Parts: sequence; structure tokens; C-alpha cells
Amino acid sequence: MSHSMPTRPALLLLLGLTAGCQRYADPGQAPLRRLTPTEYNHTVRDLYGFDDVDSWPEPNEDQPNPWPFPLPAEIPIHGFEGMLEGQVASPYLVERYQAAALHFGALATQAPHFWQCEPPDQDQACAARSIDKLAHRAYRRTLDDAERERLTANFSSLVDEHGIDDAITLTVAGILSSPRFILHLEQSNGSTEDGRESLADWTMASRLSYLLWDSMPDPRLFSDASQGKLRTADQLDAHVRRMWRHPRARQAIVHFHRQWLDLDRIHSTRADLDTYAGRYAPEVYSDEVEGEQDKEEVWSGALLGLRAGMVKETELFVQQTIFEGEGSLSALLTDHHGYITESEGYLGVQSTAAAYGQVQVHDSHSYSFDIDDGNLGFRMTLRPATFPAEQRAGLLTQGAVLAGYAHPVHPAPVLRGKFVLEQLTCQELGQPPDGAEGQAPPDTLAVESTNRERLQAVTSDAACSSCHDSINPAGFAFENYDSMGGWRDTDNGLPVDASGSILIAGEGRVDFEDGVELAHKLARSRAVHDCYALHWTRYALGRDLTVEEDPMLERIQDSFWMSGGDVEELLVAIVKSPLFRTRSPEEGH
Amino acid sequence: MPKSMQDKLVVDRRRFLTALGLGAGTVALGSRRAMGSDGVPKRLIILSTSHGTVYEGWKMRPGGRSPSSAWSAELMGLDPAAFSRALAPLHPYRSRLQVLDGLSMTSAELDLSGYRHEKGWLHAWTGAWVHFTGTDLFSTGPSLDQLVAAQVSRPDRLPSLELGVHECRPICHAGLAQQLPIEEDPRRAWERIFGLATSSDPLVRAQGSVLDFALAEYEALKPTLRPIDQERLSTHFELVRQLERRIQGLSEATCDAGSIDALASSAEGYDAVWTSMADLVAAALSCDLTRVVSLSLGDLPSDDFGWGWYLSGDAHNDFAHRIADDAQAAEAMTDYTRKHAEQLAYLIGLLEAIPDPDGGSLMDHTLIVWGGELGNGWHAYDQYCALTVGGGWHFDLGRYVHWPAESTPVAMLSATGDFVMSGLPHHHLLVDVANAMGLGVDHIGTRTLQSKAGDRVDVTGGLPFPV
Repeated sequence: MSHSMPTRPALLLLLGLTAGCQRYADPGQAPLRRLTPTEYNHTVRDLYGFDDVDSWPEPNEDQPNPWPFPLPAEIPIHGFEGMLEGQVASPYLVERYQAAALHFGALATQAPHFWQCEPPDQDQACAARSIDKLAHRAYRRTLDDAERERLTANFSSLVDEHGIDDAITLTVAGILSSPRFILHLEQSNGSTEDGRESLADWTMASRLSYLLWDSMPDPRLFSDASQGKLRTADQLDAHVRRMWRHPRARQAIVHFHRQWLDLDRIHSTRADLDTYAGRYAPEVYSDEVEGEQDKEEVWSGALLGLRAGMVKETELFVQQTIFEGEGSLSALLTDHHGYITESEGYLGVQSTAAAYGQVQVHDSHSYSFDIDDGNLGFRMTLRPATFPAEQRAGLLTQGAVLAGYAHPVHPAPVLRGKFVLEQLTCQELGQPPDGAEGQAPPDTLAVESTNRERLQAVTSDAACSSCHDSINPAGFAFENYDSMGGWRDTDNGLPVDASGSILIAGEGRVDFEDGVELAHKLARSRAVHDCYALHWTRYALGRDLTVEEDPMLERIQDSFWMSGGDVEELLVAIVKSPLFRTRSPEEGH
Repeated sequence: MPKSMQDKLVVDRRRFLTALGLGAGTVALGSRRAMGSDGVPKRLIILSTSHGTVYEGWKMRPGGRSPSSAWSAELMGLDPAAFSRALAPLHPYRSRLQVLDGLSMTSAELDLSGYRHEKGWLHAWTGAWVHFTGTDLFSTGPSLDQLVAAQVSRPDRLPSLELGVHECRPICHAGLAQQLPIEEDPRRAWERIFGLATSSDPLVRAQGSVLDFALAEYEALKPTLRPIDQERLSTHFELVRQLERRIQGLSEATCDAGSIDALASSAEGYDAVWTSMADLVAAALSCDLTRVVSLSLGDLPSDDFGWGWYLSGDAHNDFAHRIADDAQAAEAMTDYTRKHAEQLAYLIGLLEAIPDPDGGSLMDHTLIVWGGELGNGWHAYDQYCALTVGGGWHFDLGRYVHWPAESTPVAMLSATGDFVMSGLPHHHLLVDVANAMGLGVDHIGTRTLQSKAGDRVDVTGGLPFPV
């Protein structure tokens, strides 16, 4: 399936004409990218050896939270960070990376992996050795003589001026500020493959670890890189499978899905109290809660717990389905098992089971964790659950997704439809005509008819229908789920009609009675599999693909489809692809 | 070696912070400053609010002037009742106001790409066409504040400050697809502005050596890179060099920074955050730690302007979108603007109360521009209601200036869905502000607008003030 962007020639022309701008005449040349905020923080964690969050030094007044360090968010491209076009530099960004370097530099001597000797011997000589070892790992390759000399000279002069402790802090901060740390510096190994440059072993080590772990290479990868053992398809295959089994892979794969589904958007929605509190947080109406202000506060607190729970449910579902379960895209889109959350806060115990209605909760394997937003704290417990197969089918019918694409009172079929078409079928919708958003029906309880009827009424004339004939059905499919993701058979007293049909390019019409049926049909679609593979490939490379790269993408997509949509096999196919192991040469070479 | 180094940092910084009170401080005087024509550094504040306003609740007609001609009327002689409901809170400061009635964001209307809010946010302060990738919208040029910062900022201070309240939209751009991040937390903003100057921590003061090292690494690396990577790297490291100069300058500045503990955190209410931001801006400008500030204000909670009880209290979907159909929604959005006018009045009051070392008050040497992303909440770009405060070295103050609603021969979509002639393109305001700040330019963003029907409109030059 082709992914070509009709606007690319215009973009290239525009970029070429604007002075002092970034020029990506050929993104296939893989211009260098920076560590994302996620990658930066994970890299420091692993560089230092603080294996879990609690092993960092105690927070205090000046450092309320030693890790992670908040860095400015990138501009998401197709929803993802780590993309070339989304990484722009600004004075503020540079300041924050500097602040991060100083912050973490100050923690170096407390890091499990720092000292290369035991306490009585921790003198300047050992410090210098430790710094050298740290730099090698931080830079993700061996240092050359000149680099080593600069590092040693820097440390020595700092010791003279500030003493050993501060000199270590400032030297490590320097390492963390170095372009060799904060950038993904990549090199070719001098050979070519079908006219493309093969990438060096050290580069492959980093590409593997940042794709599969969102972090730096481990000792095995470093060792194989130094011995030139990251070249053949078999060698790379073996590493992917090895790394897949590490807990960091779970975090990284879940992170991809969090971005793909835009799970964070749920936090900026606000379900309407009058519409939903009665069903989902009846404590809002209890006798102890007096006055509108208090009701709002109690409702806010309830939403906090419910939303955090729903996001965790989806993350755990993704992780378990891929790593413990069937492991396929199809399972992600159709499995009617999942989790419910019980959250315990100052309001007592609430459960997301209220949103899911009929649900069978199992006693096995619960997962607990605490959340705290600075004002409220909750203990969350996720329990495995089985949902009615006629009501739930995988990701598209989970609370975190449904509630994220909803208005306060009524669900948002346009947002849901757009999400399905863009993120699942890779259909690019373009922009609405001027004034379109202002035509949306009011989002209030005081209405006649159903949500579907009201939206259909304002989008049926010729100017609107060319797009809305595609968007609306994909959104109406989910009319059985309200703005909290809860099941409903009626809307405003009238029966919900979730039936419709969408057109998938190359595959024809897909008819469905409701969202569950649509999800099952999407799960069987080749185009949907190709789209998922495209998202992953772009994400792995951190850039859009060029037209010349289409054949390589198609081979990845074929591989994925032939494997039955297995996510691990997809990542193996990407890593083994020339797209991942090579880059196009510079012009004129 | 357990936490000894950590403790040392803690003790130094904490002791120093608690020693800071709200006493009179000394203001830093640099040896060289970028000056306006009378030798005094000028400051610019951009205030950007959401959903435009309701024209009928904002407009004024002093002396019953006609809406079909261009005129200018004095504000000084007006009593509060003569001010519109939306602008009444600014009555005490009318001697500094220049209310601009008759502008349109014509370029945004003629730019066919992208969603209206997003497009408005980009056009408002860049005057440049947007680039739409199919899913994402980018600016193609720098915003006014960045152009001004390049002109008036000191190399050893913050070139500009981007602050916001409550889920605001980015309005500042450094160039093609270079959106600047906004700080929404007053305490983090305080750290950024005053952290270096107020810290006695030797490690904080030794930061320069860290940057020196990074720059040396960059210089060594550069020749080994491909040209495509060199260019990307050099942008980043030029910013690091600038950071080094800034750090040195900021750490040498002395300033009454107030106490960080007095500031709200971004989790608190809108008003608390606004007040903290305004206080920060006043302190930062008074100490010459920056000369250009932009404030992007997100949606007001409807309780804050007295309308939390109406519909579901969602200012965007319930009020802003329904001003044409629902008189109460229109009233609500007028009160929305009025609330922002109150907030602006607070800021003006702060600036007036600070003496400027060059004479008069800080406000005497400051220009504030208030605009936003839309003309009104129903996504119109015409009747773009704007005003300036201060800038008396360039503008005639204390007046209400009106241009006819349909002054420009290019058709635009009105709030009622008809096509009407455009008002005065807002580019002229951007150019005038730029020139007030010493840029000496004839255009900001684009020079010419072109419609589908082939009309071409020249948007160079400043505002054509009626004589």
C-alpha cells in the first residue's frame, strides 16, 4: 500500500525557499535527531543504574522529584514524538536540556553504576576512570583519543578549581550536555547495499535499543557492537527477540500505543456532571456533599480516578495481549477481555466497572499502583475482567479511547470517526472548509432526537457530505458508548443506531451493525494491517518515507501480514529491513 | 559518599531564597543597552486571548459617530458609563489606550489551509501563511515578538519570555515550523527568570564551564559530519552559545525577585495563576531581564466571569459557538472579554507603580498589544477587536480609532455566513507595533494578500490613522 503524501512536493519547495530553515530534500538520508524527553530520561536512568523509580535518592524541598526531569514536549507528527519534523530547537529547549544536565550531574556519585571502585579507593584517579567509563556508555560508542583527552583535561582543571565532588558534578553535566549524548549520531560503516549506505555497528546498537527499549544499549549490545557482530540479518533477529523479553520492551511498546491512540487526550476532556455523575460517581449526590462547588470538586476527584484507571487498563491490555497473549494486531482490536480498576481515595472505593456495565471480574492476578496529582492520591487496583462479546471488542471499545474522543455531554462521532480513519486506515482527510466547526450541534441535554440524527442533519448538504459521508459512519459505529465509554442502548430515550458502512481504499465497502462488528472487520483488513505497519516503520525511523522507499515498506507490510499480524514479527521485519539498516547516500556521493 | 553533595546544594539555595524578601532591590544597569530613539529601552508585551469577543458588547461610539467613516475620538473626556461593557475595566487607564475598531484578520480568511482556531493562532502574530501537512499546521514565519526580540533584546539576558495561563495555545514562532514552548507554571517561570541571579550555589554559577565543554565537543564533532547534519547541529549549538552569554549576564544581574513561595502553582485557579504571571512580568521587566513578553491566555472557567450556571458552562462549545443564536451566550462572551480587561488592568497598574530608572514609570516605556486568534467566538475573522496600551513615543494615546467595517476590497466570510468586504487587515497593526519597537520595516509576514477571485491587497505599511 502506498503512503505517498500529495503535499510533499509543495512542502519541499516551501522549505527550500525559506532561508535558514531545515532542508529535508531527502529524509531518506536520515538527518540526525535528538533524544526525545522519554529517551533522555530513560537513558539517564539506565546510565546510572536506578532500576526502579524508588531507587533514586530521596526527594527533598529543592528536588521534589529527582526523576524524570520534565523537558519541553516535541510537536507530535502523526501523533508521535521522536519525529524529525517535530524536533525544533528553541532557546527554552536548550535551557531545559542544560538544566537537566546539571540536575543529573549532581546525582552522579550516588548512581549505582558510577564508581568503578569501592569506597576507600574513591579518589581522583578512580573518579577519572569512572568518568571515562560513564562517557563511553553515555556516548554509546568508544571515545577517540582527542575526546578522551578533552574529558580528562576538563575534569582535572575542575578538580583544581572546585574540589573532587563538584568537579564530578560539572564533568558529568558536561557529558550530558555534549552533542554525543543528546543526539542520535549515526555513521555508516563504509560499505553499501543496493546503493544505500550500511550503518555502523554502534549505530545499529543504538537504533535497536531506542526502538525496542526507548533507551540506551545494554552491555550485550555494546559488546557485540565492539566486535562487529551487529551486521547480519540473523544477528539482528537474535537481538530483537532477546530484547523483546526484557521488561523495558513492554514499556516501549506500550508507549508506542499510547501515542498511536493518543491516550493522553482523555486528561483534557471533562464529562458533564449532570449527565454522568449519577451513573458513574453517585457519591456526588450524597448528603455530605453540599453546594454546587463541592459537587464539582467531588466529581473532579472521581474523574481523576476513573480516567487514570481507564488509561492503565488500556496500557495493561496492550502489554498483556502482545507479550503474554496472542500477540497480534487482530487480538488488540477484537479481544473482549480486559481490566477494570478499583480506585481507593478519600471518597472511598470507586470502580470503572460502572462504566462497563455488565462485566465479569476475576480474582486472579491483580495489579496495584498509586497515583498522585499533587492534590489527590489514589491507590489503584486493576483486576482482569471479561466483557460481553457483543459490547466490547478490543482497543476501539475501551474507555480510554472512547472518552478521549467525546464532548462533555454527548460523544463526538466526528472525532471518533476521524481517529478511526486516520490512525487505523491511514486515510488522510484534509481540512474542513471554513466555518465548519462552528456548525456543530450544541452539546447540551436539552435536545430532541439522537446525537446521530443531529450531526447527520448538519453535515448532509453537498459542501459537507464529501468528507462526512466517510467520517460520520466510522464515528456513528460507536454511538453505543457515551462520553465516559459506558454502554448505552438508547440515546435520549430513542434506540441507538450504530450501523453504517465505510470504504477502505483497495478493499471496498465494509458494512457493520455496530462498533464491535466494525472492530472485527477492521481486524481482518489487510489495509489496516498495512497502516499499522506504516505507523511503526515511520516511528522506528523517526521520519516520513520517500517514494523510493515504498518497495522496502511493502516488504515489511507483506511480512507482517504473512505472520498473521504478529507485533513481534513486525518489529523483526522492520529491524531486518534495509530501511532500518541503511540510509540513502548524500547527494553527489 | 552518601548525600553530602546533595545536602550542600540544598542548604545553600534554601538559605539564600529565604533571605530574599520584598524589600526595595537594586535594578541592574548594563553597560550597553539596545535603545529606542530617546535612549530608553522599550518593552513589548503581547496579550493573546481566545475566542475573540462580541463586537456589540465591545464597541464604543463616542459622540455618536458614524460607522461608515474613519474617525478618531478622544477617550479622556468619557465617564465610565460611556465605555462598553467589555472595556469598562480599562477606563481608569484610558489615557494610555488606543482602541482599534475596524480590523480584520483578512489573511487568515484568505488562507484556505487548516482549522480556524489553529490558523488564527498562527496568523495573528506572524502575518504569514500557514503550512498544513494534512494533519498538522505549522507557521511559515517568525512571530512579531520574536522579530522585536531580535531587535531590542540584550544578548546577556532572556531574549523573550513566553508565558501562559491554563491550557493556552502557542502563539510565538521562531520561524518555519518552530513553535516556541510556553511556561504555564509561575514557579518554573520564576526559576527560569531569576534562578541564576538569585542562586549563590557555586555549582549553578559554574554552569558556564559545562557549556564551554559542550561547545568544544561540538566544534570537534562538526567537521566529521555530513553537511545535512552540520546544518541541523549548528542551529542547536548557536542556541547553546546564546545560552552561555545569557547565563553569564543573568547570573551577574541583581534584582528584587520577590519570593517564589508567593507564587501560585499552575494547578491553582486561573486568577491566581494570572496574578502570579503578571507579578513575574513586572519584576522581570523592571530588572531588564527581558524586554519582550508574550502572554497566551487559555479558556476562562465560566465561573470566573459569572456564567458557570448556564448550560454546561463550557465557554467554548456552549457560549463562543452560539453568540449568533443565543443572546445569553453573547452576553456571556462579552463578560468573558470584560474579565480579561480586568486582568489587563491589573497588569497596567503594576507597571505604573514601578519607577523606571530612566524616568517615569515602567509603563511609560512599555507597549502592550491585546489581540487573539479570532474576531468572534463563532470563528469569524472580521471585526477583529484589538487595542494597544502605552507606546506613547510612537502612538497618539487616549483615543478610540474607528475604520469602517468593510474598508478593504476583498470578500470575507462574516459571522452570519455571508461574504462581506474585509475590514482593515491586521498586518498594519503588526507593522506599526514593529516600528514602535524600532524595527523600521514595511511589512510583517506577507506583503500581499490574494483572494480566490483575484483581488490583491497590499498589506504593507502601518495603520492609516484618520487625520
